[in-house]
Order: sequence, then structure tokens, then C-alpha cells
Amino acid sequence: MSTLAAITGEHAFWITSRAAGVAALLASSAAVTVGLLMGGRLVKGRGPDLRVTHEALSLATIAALLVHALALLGDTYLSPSLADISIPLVSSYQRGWTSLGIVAGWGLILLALSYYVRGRIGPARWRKLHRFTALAWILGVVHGVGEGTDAGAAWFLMGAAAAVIPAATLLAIRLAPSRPPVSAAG
Amino acid sequence: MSTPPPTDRAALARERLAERARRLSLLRRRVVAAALATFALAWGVIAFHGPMGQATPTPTTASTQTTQSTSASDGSTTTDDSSSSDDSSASSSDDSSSQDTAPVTTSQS
Repeated sequence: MSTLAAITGEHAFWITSRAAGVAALLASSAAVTVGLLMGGRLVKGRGPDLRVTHEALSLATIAALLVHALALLGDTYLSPSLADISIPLVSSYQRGWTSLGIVAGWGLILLALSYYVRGRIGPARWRKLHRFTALAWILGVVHGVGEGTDAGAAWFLMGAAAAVIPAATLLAIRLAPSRPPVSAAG
Repeated sequence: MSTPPPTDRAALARERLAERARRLSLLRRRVVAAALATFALAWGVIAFHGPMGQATPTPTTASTQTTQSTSASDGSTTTDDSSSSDDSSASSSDDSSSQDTAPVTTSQS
């Protein structure tokens, strides 16, 4: 137990960042799933519940993303600067994957917060803009699988699959071209 | 079929709104609790499995190997100071060179 305490004490910020990354991945996947359920026709009669759940999951994702990034500032090994964790292509540590994660993080945060200024943006324009959340989420998943320290661990892969597969399936259904109705006379 | 009086309808509407607010508040609390539980569980699993995980950035230790041997014939001292950064020739030629790196011989008279 004391060994565990010593290890975690030394790497507390590193572990915190990774755990928050896992939480962000799961929360964002759940938010995308609920968001797609709201827009689709699969669930009926629970509109307000889904909307509140979607909003709460999105805010939880933002919180997890902030912890994921800011906890790295306390890591004594990487010791990144604020620019390293917030501006793409600045950090030298796994530059491609890290930049992908930064773009995904900013995308998820800004697109989620745009909900609160949708009156200024305009509902139709905001709705179009909000579709890019799915793209930011995909970038985040790629970042997690590509750079994640736990990406090879079975527990991570199973958890990520359980969260990502439903969202990806619903997204594929949404993006699939709708078939025209077959005419009986044909 | 009798319709309730307006005051009753208003009270009923307020009751329904309050019930809805309670339900949505409970939903929010559950989402927050689930997110925190996920974070705590992930923290515990990562700490339990070891903080280094699969491909964590471990510090690259610059191994400095110093070998001193004294030849029986001429008493020359053989010194090999090689670090991982500048010892490129040792690993390029053959496999045995990684074990027995060619020492730089300096004679001391």
C-alpha cells in the first residue's frame, strides 16, 4: 500500500491527466450518443430528459478535458508549458497525436459552449455548426487510441469500445443516405 | 366529464412543473455522479496497474560504461567511456559488439 502511495504520489498529476482523459472520452461518447438519439427518431417522448442529459454530459466532458490538459502542467517529467497543452504543433511530445487532441479538445469545448450563444449565432446556423461536434469527437477518439498511454490495455479498450461503438453506429446511421421509398407501382 | 376549475388547473400545472424540475435535477446529479465515478475508477485502475502504462515517456538513461583493464604484457590501461548517445559504431557492425564494445586503448607509460 505504501508502495502504491509512493508511486501515485510521484505521478499523481500524470495519473490524474490520464484518468480525466478516459472520463472525457467516455463522457463525450455518451454525449454524442444522446445527442444523436435526440435528433433521430429512435426515442420518442423523452425530449426534455435527453436534452438535459446531453447538456450535463457535454459539461462533464468540458470539465474532464480541462482537468486532462491542466493536470499535465503539474507533471514534473513532461513539464509542458501552457502553450504546449493549448496550441497545436507546439509540443514536441508526440507532436501529431498531441496536436490532434488539442484540436479535438478546443473543438468540443467551443462547439458545446456555442449552445449558450445560439441566439446570437442563429438557430439554423448553430445547428449546422453543431454537426462538427461529431468530427471533433472522432478526432478525440483517434487521439485517445493513438497517443493514450493506456490504449493497449484491455480495460481501456473494452471501456472505450462500449462507449464509442454505440455513438459510432448512430452516427453512421445518421450519415447514411436515406433511401427513397420504393413505389408499389414500380 | 368535468373539467377542473382554473385554480385547480393552475395548481396541477405547477405541480407537474415542479415534478419535472425534480426529475431533471436528479438526472443532472446522476450524470455528474457517473462522471466522477468514471474518473475515480480510471484513476484507481491506472494507479493499480502502474503509472507508466504501455508507452509512457520513461526517462532515457544515458548509460555510461567504464571499463578498465590492465594488460599483462605492457601494463597499458584500457579505458572505455561510452554513452548511449555517441556509441553508434558499437551497435552497427555486429551483435557481439553490443556486449563487447571495442575499447579505446590508451597507453600509460
